[in-house]
Amino acid sequence: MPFGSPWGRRLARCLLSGLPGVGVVLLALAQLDAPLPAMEPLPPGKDVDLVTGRCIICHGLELVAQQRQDRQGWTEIVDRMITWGAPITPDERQMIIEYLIRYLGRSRTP
Amino acid sequence: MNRETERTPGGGLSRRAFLVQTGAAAALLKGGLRVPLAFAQEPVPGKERLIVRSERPLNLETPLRELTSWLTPTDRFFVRNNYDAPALDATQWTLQVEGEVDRPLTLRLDDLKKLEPVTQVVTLECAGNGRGFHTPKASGIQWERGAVGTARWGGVRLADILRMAGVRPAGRHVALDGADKPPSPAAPDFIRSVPIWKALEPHTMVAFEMNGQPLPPLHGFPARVVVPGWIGSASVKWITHIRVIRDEFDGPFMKRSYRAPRAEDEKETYSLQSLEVKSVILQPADGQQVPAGSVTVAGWAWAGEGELAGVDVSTDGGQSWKPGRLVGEAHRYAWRGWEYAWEAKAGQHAVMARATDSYGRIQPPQPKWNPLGYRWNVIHAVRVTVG
Repeated sequence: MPFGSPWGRRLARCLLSGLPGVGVVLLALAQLDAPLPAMEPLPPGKDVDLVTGRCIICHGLELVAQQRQDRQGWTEIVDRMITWGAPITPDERQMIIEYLIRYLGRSRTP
Repeated sequence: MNRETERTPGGGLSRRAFLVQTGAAAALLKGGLRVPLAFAQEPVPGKERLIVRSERPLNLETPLRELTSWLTPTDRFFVRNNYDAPALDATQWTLQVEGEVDRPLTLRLDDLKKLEPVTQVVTLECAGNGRGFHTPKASGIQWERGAVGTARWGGVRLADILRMAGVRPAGRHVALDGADKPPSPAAPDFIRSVPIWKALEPHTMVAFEMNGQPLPPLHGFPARVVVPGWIGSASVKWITHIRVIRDEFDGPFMKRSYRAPRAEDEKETYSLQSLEVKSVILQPADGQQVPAGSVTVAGWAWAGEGELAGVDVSTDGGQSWKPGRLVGEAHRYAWRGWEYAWEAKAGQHAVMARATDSYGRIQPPQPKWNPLGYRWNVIHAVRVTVG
């Protein structure tokens, strides 16, 4: 199964490629029972910490990361979240909207 | 194949794939290669085979390959939550029936069980099933094909409960409120309403069993509403309040969400009710290779408030269509099995299924895009290599 799936094939390519870091993968595979590492589903970028901190109060970040919206769409969503109790100041609102348009905009392929 | 399906090869990211994709391999792939966008996905206990679309609130999709039986096993049944699932104590639980009624009621589970029991097989589908295929992206959970499932629901008729309370003539809608609560007190409670005619229809029920067992917490324990044929959000889980009201409930889950533009006037929206007419191909699976000769093409089809009239199958990418055969049990509000005997010749084929219903609705070749990404019922096509 692992090598039949797309991720398995990717794994196989990694293992066969001889890239530095293969040892890291093998180490990881050897520690499958270890706790999963913390994840950052949002694309890294300016103000990602602000977006993370405000959004995770109420919901998971993958809910944000799977969206692709234009300026109007993101503005409506952020304003609805503020109405629904998200603690976001006017300055933060603008920074959050700019982050979302830049990294999770309509032009980005999902 | 898009990233979303690649990320979830047939049902959730394996632990190994997770580690490879996110931790170790992310470091590996840096330097030129794009680090893939990945989400933390630990399997959900009791739902290990499902795709995690959202962890909080929990939203789980069934991979198509897990929808092989007419009754979807509970551990493979999709989960759609607007807010976190509450953990309720059945001994403390009550159902309040109030509003435009002669006799407001407070019912316990034992009271409900004194009513005439009903059991029926009903297909539930999320209104946003297929949203992930809409272009441009519509906002919401990016479901593909698996926010749908069929279960045997046991409970009582909502009509019997309403009859006990005595609906007044002014009561034209029934608001359904469950025990799930928003994470912020400023956010609106999840409340949906259905018109009184649908609430009184004998198929509409308050269920406390799913596939012969008490409802699991993720599916509404101890009791939920099942509104057959309608978009899944009408079937409110963890039901605690049934309020008979004069007008459609005035809240954002009625007035903002679960709405689509009207065909006659796109500026106007309407509240979604019936599911669309729809079919899925379960076999052959997309991308499958089969030997030449007799191949059974098979899947499910459903039509919401409509009655399924038939399923046509094309094995030449939609140039010609032949009728499939409806098989298995026929229930008013449950999906129906269909199959088509295909004499497959060597080569690449696009196999398609197209359901029609008693209203003359037919699955379209193109989506009806709408801002919130509902009503996806485009003809399902799978690529099959023969030989």
